Amino acid sequence: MLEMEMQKLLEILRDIKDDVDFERETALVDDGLIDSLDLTQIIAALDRAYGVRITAADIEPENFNSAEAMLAMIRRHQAQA
Amino acid sequence: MSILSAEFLLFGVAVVLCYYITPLRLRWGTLLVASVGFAALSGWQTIAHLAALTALTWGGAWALQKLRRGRRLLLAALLALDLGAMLLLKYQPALAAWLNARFGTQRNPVWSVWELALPLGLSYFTFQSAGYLVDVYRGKAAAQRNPARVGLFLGFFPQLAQGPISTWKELAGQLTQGHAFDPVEFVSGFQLLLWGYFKKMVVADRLAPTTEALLKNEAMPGLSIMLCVALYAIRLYMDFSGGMDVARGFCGMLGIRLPLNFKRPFFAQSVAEYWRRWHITLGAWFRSYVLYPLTISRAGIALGAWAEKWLGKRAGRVLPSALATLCVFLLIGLWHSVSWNAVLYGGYFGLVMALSMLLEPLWKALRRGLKLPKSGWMRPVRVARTWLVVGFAQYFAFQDSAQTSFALLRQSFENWQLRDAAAQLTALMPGLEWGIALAGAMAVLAVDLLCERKVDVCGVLARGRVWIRWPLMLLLLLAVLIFGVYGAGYDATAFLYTQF
Amino acid sequence: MAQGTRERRRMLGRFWLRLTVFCVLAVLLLAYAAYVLTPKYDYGICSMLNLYRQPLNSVDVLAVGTSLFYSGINTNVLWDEYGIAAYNLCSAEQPFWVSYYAIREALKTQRPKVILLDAKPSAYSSDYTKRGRTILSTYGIRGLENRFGAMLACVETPAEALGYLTALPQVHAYYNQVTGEDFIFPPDNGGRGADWKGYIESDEVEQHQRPSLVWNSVKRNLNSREEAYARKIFELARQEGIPLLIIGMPNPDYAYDHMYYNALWAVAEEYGISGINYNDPNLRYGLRYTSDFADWQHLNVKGSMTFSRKLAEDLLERLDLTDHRGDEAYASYDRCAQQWYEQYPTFISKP
Repeated sequence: MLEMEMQKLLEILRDIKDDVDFERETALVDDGLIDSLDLTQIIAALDRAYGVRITAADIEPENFNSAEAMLAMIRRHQAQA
Repeated sequence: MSILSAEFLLFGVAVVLCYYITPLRLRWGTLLVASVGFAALSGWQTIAHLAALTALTWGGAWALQKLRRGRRLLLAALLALDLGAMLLLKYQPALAAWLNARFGTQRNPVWSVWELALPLGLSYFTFQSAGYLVDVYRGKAAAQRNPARVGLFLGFFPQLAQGPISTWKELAGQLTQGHAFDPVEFVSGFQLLLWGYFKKMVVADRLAPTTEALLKNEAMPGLSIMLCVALYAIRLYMDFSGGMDVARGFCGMLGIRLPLNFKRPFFAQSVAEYWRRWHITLGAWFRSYVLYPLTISRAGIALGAWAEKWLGKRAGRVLPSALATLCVFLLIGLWHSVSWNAVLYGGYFGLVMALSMLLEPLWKALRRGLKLPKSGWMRPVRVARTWLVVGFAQYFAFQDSAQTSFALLRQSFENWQLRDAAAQLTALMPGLEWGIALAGAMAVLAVDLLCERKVDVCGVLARGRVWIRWPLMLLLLLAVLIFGVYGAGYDATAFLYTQF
Repeated sequence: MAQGTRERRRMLGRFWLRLTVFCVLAVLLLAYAAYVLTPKYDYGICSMLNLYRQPLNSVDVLAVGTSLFYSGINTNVLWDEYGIAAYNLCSAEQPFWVSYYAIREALKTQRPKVILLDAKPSAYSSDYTKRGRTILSTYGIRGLENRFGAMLACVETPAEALGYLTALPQVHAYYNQVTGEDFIFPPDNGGRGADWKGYIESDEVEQHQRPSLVWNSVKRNLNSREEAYARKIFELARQEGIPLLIIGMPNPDYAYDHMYYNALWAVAEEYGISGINYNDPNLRYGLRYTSDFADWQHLNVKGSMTFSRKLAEDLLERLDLTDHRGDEAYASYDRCAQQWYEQYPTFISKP
């Protein structure tokens, strides 16, 4: 179950940016691997794919530094809804 | 009180002494007293506005935290008051002049211009308070019980003149927590302070005649105009980043870390990277509080969906960001001044950024087609390209009249005689002064290059061997005191970014 | 006491020690830099600094005044032909208040038989010297009370003096005039060395005319500050029991000065002090206005010789000055004169 979810997320991410290793990287924002344009695309894509309303309040490096962190954030939003 | 004045030096020494004499828990009180004094010395407008804003921010934050419903409305109201006051004060002269020109006459002006001096640091502390309110609304910051601490965050005196714009999270804690004396940080802070004075006094102020020449523009040869416009960018960098270093260095002596505002912008390989290295805190503020909310708002996402449907997948992804970026840069332009030049400046960068976003696949294809490498010799090419793009914008950056800028632009292509240009430039400043300015700029370039290559210059200076540190510091001290533009015969040139 | 606190105390102690040493080094370096940058030539610093290098009580005639003095009073002629040990303690446009403090400072190490005072400052009209070089001329004074006194007297507000006191803010902009000589401490006085007695020669020759004026005794009001300090100088001379002679240097521009000189002489009379005005048309001593002046105010080398001979004769007439030629203690005068005559061989007088 977890594997499938992660694969789905990774697919979405790779679709947006194909030259970053989302599987292994853990400092995507801190190391500048994804910029503000990428972030906004990711958020829009996540909104469409998971129906989660990510707000500016969620835009913190902790939430986007790795694929795991993003998945955790999505789960939190889904739990709240 | 200008940072270049003897009074500020005495003030600074007094603050540092008082800070470390006070017991640890009360040290923030020294900063508060110093900030109140500094603001008061800057004029009643400053202290009055800061006091009012402190009350609004403290009360507003408390209310935002307590309320369960209607928080959005409250936030909107607070921001309207906060930003509205700033907009009113900054733009009413221009607005009044426009209204009077349109609808009034000499004798019966529609709206008499209020002759008010702007509070010092208006834009900076307004942005800080707005950011704090939004952070409280978003739950990222807690409402502070003590209004004095809010006041200190807003009016912290090293930030009043030119920023940087700090967030509550990164600054407030540091201010209120007393810092024990750390010799290494103290020395490092002083070194940074001295370096800032070097950039400002030895390089930036020395280049002031070149900008003056552009403003007077008595038939300068084309090459001279281009050089002076390019020098404006350098002068602005030295001036602004020098001022930032002075502020950061001074705070370092107190154990406080202010956010970085400049990160060697002339090494940027794209305009986007340039704006992540130039006036960093302004860009960060606009990104957090304008760009993201715009792009990921319902409207933004809806726009994205619409664009994807009608213009393709790529457009759908990028269009909201591109449009939002254009808006942000127009706002950044207008933040500098209300003039057509400001609109052109902001709009130019906004367009460049938006287009580069939209046309990215084209560049990628071109790169692949021409087999251009990603790094290696392409790096300096990209850096040079960025210089050209940024350099062009400087025509609209150094003064408000678009007419003058276009005239200068046109004149830049007349008279490319090297001899004429050389004659005019040496008439402007003696060769020795040019030499000193160049030497100073080279020194800054060398240090920046080392830092870009991740050499820990600051570390070596603060912790390295005495026989390396001391000669360098003495040399720097001598350079500032001998070649600095100050004292008899000079007017201390005001920092370019105050009065914003 | 916990180990940590002891460690911290030791670390802080080391830090304060290093900081102190660094500050001392910095101050020394900055003081030297200020010295190098200060323009030395005719700004009076050199003549003051060189006075300290003279043997104690080796100056019999102390000439204090403006550039008219230092270009007109040829100390080498006074020594070589008359054996008079004279020293020029002068600077360009020296107002009476700087002269006052310079004299006070000089009296610490010298006991002159006579003080010559230049009458020219009586014609200066500005209340405070806005010219930086007048204030710079005080930098040579070592005695702090006299240096600060002179500086404060030169500026309008004490706040202004602060900048001058720290030297560097005022002189740092002179870096484009620094020469190799400026680095030598004590100064080499333009190659003249420690034996120099304050005479600065002017080589130019300009044609002028004897000024035409009515030699009346009409007085013109002196500038109040100049008068106040002139009185102080007269008081000081009286106190110390040293004769003071006011000297009016010959200059083609005298028509403007005459009424001021009259006023100054009138003030001096109150203290029983007199002088010699060499502009007096009745005084003939071979001075030629067509060839003896370098510009509209200063005597050139030839003029200084003619004038100095006359001055020497007048001094010997009025005072009991010892001829120190041959005296070992005054060997520096010999050396100075010798060096100067090597440069100006045509002016050696044949006995």
